[in-house]
Amino acid sequence: MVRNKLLSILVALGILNTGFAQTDFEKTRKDIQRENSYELSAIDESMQDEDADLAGQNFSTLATLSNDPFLSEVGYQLSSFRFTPRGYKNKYAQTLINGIEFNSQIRGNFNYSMIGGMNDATRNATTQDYLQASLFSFGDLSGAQNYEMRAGSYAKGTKATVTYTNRNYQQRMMLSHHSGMSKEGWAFSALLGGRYAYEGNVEGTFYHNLAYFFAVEKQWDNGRQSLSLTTFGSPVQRAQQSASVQEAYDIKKNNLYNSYWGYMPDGSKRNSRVVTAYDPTVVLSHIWKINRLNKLTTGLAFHYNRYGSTALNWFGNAADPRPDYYRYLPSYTSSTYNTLDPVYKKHAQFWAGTGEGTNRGRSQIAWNDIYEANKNNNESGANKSALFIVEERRNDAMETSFNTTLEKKINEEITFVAGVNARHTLGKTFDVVADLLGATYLLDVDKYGERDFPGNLDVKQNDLLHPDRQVKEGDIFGYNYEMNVTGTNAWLQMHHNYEHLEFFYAAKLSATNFYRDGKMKNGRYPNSSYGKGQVHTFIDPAVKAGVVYKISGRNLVSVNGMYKHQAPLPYDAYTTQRISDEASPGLVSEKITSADVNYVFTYPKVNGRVSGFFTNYQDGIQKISYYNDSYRTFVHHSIHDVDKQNFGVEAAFKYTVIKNVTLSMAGTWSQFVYTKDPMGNVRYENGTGDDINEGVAIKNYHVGGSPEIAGTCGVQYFWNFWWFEVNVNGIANNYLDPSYIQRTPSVIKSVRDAATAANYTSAQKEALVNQWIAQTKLDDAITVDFSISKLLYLKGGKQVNFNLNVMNVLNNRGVRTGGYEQGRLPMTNEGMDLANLNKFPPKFYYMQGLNVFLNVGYKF
Amino acid sequence: MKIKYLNIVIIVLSTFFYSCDRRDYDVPEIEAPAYSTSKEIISIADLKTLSSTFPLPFIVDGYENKVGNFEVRSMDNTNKAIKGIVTANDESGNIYKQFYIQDNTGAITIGSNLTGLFGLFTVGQEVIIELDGLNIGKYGGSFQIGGRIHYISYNPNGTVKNASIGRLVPEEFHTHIFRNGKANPASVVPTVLTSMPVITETNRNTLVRFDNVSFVGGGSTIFATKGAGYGTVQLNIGGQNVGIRTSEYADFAADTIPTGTGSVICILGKYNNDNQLTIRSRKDLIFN
Repeated sequence: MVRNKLLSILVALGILNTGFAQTDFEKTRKDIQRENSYELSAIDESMQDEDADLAGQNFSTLATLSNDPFLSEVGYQLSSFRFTPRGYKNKYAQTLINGIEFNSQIRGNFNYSMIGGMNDATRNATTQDYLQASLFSFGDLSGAQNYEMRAGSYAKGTKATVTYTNRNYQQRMMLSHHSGMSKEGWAFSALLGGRYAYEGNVEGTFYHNLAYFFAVEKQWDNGRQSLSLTTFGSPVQRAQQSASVQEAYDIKKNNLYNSYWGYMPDGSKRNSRVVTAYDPTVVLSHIWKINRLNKLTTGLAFHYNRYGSTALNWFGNAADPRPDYYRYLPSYTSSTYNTLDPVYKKHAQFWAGTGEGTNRGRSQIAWNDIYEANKNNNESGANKSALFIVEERRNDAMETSFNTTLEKKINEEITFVAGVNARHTLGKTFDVVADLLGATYLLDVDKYGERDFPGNLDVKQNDLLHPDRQVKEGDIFGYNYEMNVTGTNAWLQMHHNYEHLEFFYAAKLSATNFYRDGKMKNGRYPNSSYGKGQVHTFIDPAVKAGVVYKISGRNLVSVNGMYKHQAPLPYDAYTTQRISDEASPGLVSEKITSADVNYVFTYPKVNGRVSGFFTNYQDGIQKISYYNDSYRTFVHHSIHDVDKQNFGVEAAFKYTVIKNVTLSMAGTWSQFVYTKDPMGNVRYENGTGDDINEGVAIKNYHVGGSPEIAGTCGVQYFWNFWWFEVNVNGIANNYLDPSYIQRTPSVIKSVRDAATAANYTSAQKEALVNQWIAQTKLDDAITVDFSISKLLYLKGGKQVNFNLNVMNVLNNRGVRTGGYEQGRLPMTNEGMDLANLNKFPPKFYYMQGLNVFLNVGYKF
Repeated sequence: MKIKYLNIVIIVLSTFFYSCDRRDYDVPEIEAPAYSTSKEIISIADLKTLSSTFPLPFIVDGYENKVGNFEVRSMDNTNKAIKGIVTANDESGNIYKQFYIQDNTGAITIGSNLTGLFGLFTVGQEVIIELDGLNIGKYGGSFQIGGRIHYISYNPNGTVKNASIGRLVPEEFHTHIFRNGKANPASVVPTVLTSMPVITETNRNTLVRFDNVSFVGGGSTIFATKGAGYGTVQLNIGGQNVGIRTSEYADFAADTIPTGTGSVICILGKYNNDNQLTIRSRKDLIFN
């Protein structure tokens, strides 16, 4: 299989020109799909809601890069449903560039936006699917992908690409030039790209991005040695879209309603949530083909990640400026959620406005009022500290990575690979005053400290070393800490390939340590917030093995398995890392067991794969952080001792019906479930509530984030360099991850107590409790996509390709793609508010309706 | 090759274009609000007098025409408005979801379901309130303008026992209450007093300043204890003790009450039969 893989890689790299137009075409089609899917991942980016601090995008382009019939079909076709193969989170997919791992050491995920807008430079990738053997890394549950970005790896040529789309950006341009390897052994590559939208498809969003990529490679010693330097970056400034409750979408009659923006006094639209990210990266790598049998690849990488995300913040007794805050919605103001009620209707009309011109009622941010309140306060307030500011929450990281991999062919049958990696990340997390909105300063104290800790002048201080500090634009306030993470690992793999049998075994040992270093002495945590904290160390073994039995040249069966320990991520390891070093309880490595069985067949008319998989997670740690507006603080709910299982089957077939007509089908049935009730810890960041240590009854709940049942069915027709394709995609059993607080025994008991107090019968009581704990399931959905492509060969080897993708042709605007259950409870002074149990319903994101991606490329 | 150069030009131009479209925002000029009403403007005193002639309100859930103890009246179809200057608001958290306006004839409270009113309804702001669609009622004997939705209690037989004045919800608030002109804090001049007057509709809820006063227990107690809801401290005004009532949520609740003799600015209030003073913020305590 490795050999087949290598062959296909070579084809993909353009090193072997098979000369068949259809193959060429297939390649172009794949390229375009990949491009398109990156852009889908960019949509996903805009949906990260900082209030809920969702653990980041779930999207994996690994799938689309793969040549596996299942992964390549579903990975692309189902990406807009946020489908992730086998339900594996992004952190379980290793992503490398020139052989060096680039997953974040703090959050675990690979940040796709660091390579955004440079698709023509990220086309070459080697993938290792799931638990298979690999020549470049040990891999993980999802596998691994290695972007080949050395100058010499690009085929000589110049390419210009122009794209139009109507998603989060509208125009994209890319110009790349690759010199190819000269006789003297030099190769150069350069790319300049950009993506732009004055306003994206979602109202109030915009997109500004510039991407650059430069690479130089020198080969010597008859090509046996190569030194290459690659540097790239993709600075981006983009505005985000909100998740909202269904009531807001219904009133606005728009499932893409975005509460993050509002009109400025001059009539322009301003978004309060703007991400500014820049990830300059330098990768230095050396390849030494020592001899015919030995190859040593060594790399060193530097990556700085500047990531900032703005948000409105408000202080003192100022009003909550978020337009979709529940107290402003008609269900609250009219005391009824009966949409036929005349008062409800009136309030709904008032809130939404007419929609004509700039009349949006109260459904968008009132910037004018915000500026005016700050101005008034500045002129006559008792305390001139800003009432409203725009803050930028920064999560920066400086990563340094080193790795070396030896590939040794022991003989024709046996290949030995071993690698050593060492990485260090210095993360910097802090809050900055981005815009004082007309105020002259902000007093750096906790916004509710004075109310909650009256008379105690210390406790409200965000930094006891600089009490009552007046901060200005550009100043750090609130919280400031560094995270130091060091990870080293060594791995080796033996791969045996015989006529009918192929097998491999591999082992890895990792050491991880991290510590927090606080830069502020917080008044609520004077003893645990400042200075170097406790060092957490984890030693984690991993083993992996697989066997392939080649029944015939057309049929093979394979079995793979892996057992590994995985250190907790620093992001999950603290109860409230912004201001305290206190570790989450149950901080141990997660234990993962995974296995799959595969049957692969290749006949002239039909080929495909059928697999079964099973993965068990044990002793995991997870955290939900959300904003609780009655406590006006972030609440962190971490659960530990988390056991989960993902299991299911997946299958893919490709059938050539008649010449030039192909039918492809890929689908999966699976389940992702919590298998026991984990322990939990609730922590209020400003200390207004006591810690709660309690189990969370989520056994048998589904793990959210990806549909469990998903499939796609497509017909492709190829004729004279035209390609037509129609796909029908469907998903089912798509759940939101359960909110933990809702399923704690004490909360369930308070629902039951309230029902008892209200004289419910026991049957009514059980019905109520069941309704309370029921998991949010998103509706099953079907979409249809269509694409048409043309490839044109011109004189002198020039080439023009044209591609039009129309996604969601049926313009289905009702597809929920994700969201989250709100962590807030409908409590009154008397206990659970039975009449308003659904006061804090889940927030959702919706899929865009019909959207297009039109791409024209010119190679010369 | 021509196309190549063209492309470079396009890319460079678009780069320029991208970088020009920066979303940095300067502080905009804020225009002073302006509002003129077509309704007949009456004085606050006239409104209070007229209110007893207004009809009972329509109650939203269908209990209209039921007999009960209504301390609330509907201002529907009056076609009138009042105009006053904001004298007190929720800035410190001592007053909550309310603000006070005053004209030459008296003062009245505006009750709402909104927080952070002080941002725009700052002291010295002229406010016009169009009365149609709102209700007027009494809370603890004090006139208050409120919304259509009432807190209703029922008798065991299902009839309305009591309907009290409701709070203005956003829709009612923003469609009836308008600001006119830029706030002028200097226009708010408290009436200077040295003894406690008899509270009448003319001075009730107006802003006053007591000179030569001292706190009972000054220096030893605080305005309100956390968890108590409210705290009351006594102010000695010309030999007479009057209670100052403070919410535990006031940002000065935990301050120690001042010692010595000084001046206190406050809202001159009465809750049913008890005189009651309300401080707006720390700045209202003028002690050396």
